[in-house]
Amino acid sequence: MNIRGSRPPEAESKPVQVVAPVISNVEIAPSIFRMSLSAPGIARSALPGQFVHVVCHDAGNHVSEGSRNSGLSLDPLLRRPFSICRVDRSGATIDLVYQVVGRGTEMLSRVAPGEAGRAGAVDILGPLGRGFDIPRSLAGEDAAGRALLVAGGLGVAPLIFLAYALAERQVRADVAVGARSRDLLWGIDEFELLGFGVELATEDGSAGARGLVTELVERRLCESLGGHGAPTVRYAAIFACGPAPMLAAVARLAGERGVPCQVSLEERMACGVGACLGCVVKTKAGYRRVCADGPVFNAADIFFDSDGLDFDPGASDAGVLHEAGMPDEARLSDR
Amino acid sequence: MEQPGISKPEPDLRVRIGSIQLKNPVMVASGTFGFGEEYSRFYDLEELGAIVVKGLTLRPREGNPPPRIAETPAGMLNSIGLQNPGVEAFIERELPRLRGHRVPVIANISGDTFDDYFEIAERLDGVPGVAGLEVNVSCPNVAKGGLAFGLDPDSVYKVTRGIRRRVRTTVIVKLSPNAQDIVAIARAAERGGADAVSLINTLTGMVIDVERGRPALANISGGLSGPCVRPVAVRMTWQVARGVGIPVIGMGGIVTGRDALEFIMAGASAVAVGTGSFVRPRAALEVVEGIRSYMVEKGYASVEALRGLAWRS
Repeated sequence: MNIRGSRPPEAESKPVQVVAPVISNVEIAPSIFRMSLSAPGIARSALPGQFVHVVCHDAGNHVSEGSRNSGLSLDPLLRRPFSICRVDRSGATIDLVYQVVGRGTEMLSRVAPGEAGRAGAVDILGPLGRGFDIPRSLAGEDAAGRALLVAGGLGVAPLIFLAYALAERQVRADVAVGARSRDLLWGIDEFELLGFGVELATEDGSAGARGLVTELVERRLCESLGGHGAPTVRYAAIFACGPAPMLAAVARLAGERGVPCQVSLEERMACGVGACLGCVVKTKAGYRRVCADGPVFNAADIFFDSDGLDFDPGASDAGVLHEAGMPDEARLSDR
Repeated sequence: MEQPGISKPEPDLRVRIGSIQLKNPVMVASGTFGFGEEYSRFYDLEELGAIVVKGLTLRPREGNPPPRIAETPAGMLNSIGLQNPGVEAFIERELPRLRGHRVPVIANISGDTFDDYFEIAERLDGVPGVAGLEVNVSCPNVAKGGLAFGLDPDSVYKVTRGIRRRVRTTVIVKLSPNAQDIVAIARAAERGGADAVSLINTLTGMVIDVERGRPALANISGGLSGPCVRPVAVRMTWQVARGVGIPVIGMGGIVTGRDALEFIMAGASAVAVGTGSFVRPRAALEVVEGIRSYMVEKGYASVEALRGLAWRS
């Protein structure tokens, strides 16, 4: 059953497993890396909000076919899911952004650019999952309203991909980004280059407003109702990615104001393709798989108070570093 | 001996489990392959020896709360808790699509009581597209039934015997490595009339999240699988295959053809790939290729010629 309701059946892009050459793998903020991979098939078919499932190992990610198994890395065993941050369809590359939070991501951060089938290539599976649904009502001059993108920490990644798609469709959008401190902010310039206004919040006040990104969202939604007389902005959709407590707060605000809201979720994941039922979240229709029924869900369908959603990758990235995968932010909102 | 100019004959990979003819000895393990749909995006399911579908119960089961997964060194823990749509939904919604693939489909079944097992077995017996039953007496993740049955030879005998008397189809009993004496359990299944036994199910395990000071799984404990369990599984396959006269389906951490050959040389007639599919979606096919190329390279004509090879040492 499709609990997305309004959403048409996916024109689903067929996932592929490829050993993708690493074009670049650069630390863009403390412990945060941006990796660019040559993956023409995935670059061509991926949709905003989809992810790739990545073998995280620095000792070569390829296995020789046949009976011998040299080169097969079994520890860490599971792939790690990362949201696609950007696709360059002409250059046939995809960008991933990840934070080093465990052994797998630590190994991934050491992979240097190289060639397919050799060191310097990464075994990836994708594109996977159901991404953001961009309603037609958002586009054009007679749009029902603007879009509001809300990101916490690494949650910026899928929203950058989404921002490119929104810009292509001439959707007007505002962006709110939160992080613990100024040095952990990244990707802001990409939103701005697309012509979207970005508002910032940091926990320590080192950039933008001091506090949580959800406070920015609350103010914007009040303004959009014409809080102080002037009807300023009307939001017709919210797209959010970040730690679960942030998403819960955004979902509540959106619900109160009647603004449709889509959230990208994370949960410990094994197969990534929908087979193992490991990564479920509690929805109004029962448990649903983050990897195949999500990672993007309608916020109104999610029970944010369920056990699994107080998710914290903690000191390990064991099969858990989903697209948002941000231990700092998750802890930040635990208080 | 190899002769120049003469191509080596194509080895015969076919094996037989009960009345099921498999084109090769490689199956996919229950709970790791859903109902086949997900992995059909990566390859033609007809390349497999058989598909064992996600464990079924009489009525739909919601499963355990998340987190359900934790990674371990060269392995993983799961506590899915037999989430499944129930046997009727399987027959109505999943089986018609599966029947479209020409591959034997084995239904894995669980129950809370003996009567549950008998009822679900009877419901599936003779249903077009169901080639056989795998009786799960060994799930570690549900409160009652499952593992409790699998640890006691008398219960395994009783459940196997009861199903055998009620159905005509092939009956495979899936064994728990958590039993004190897995050979005794296997013999109980054989006496009860099982056509084959499969092993191992997951080993009960636990991971503590030290940052948070609590179990990593919401269910506290879960089933350990992946390459880390393989030596245990190979040892148990060896013991069981020497202890019973019915075919053994070996599994536990198989990712490559070499891994599978260990089980066959330990006495398994067929093998299953489980967690390996999560890491490499085409793992089961790579295992088929690995077995085939080994047989060509070493000149083995049939799987049976390899079975139990290590016993002769």
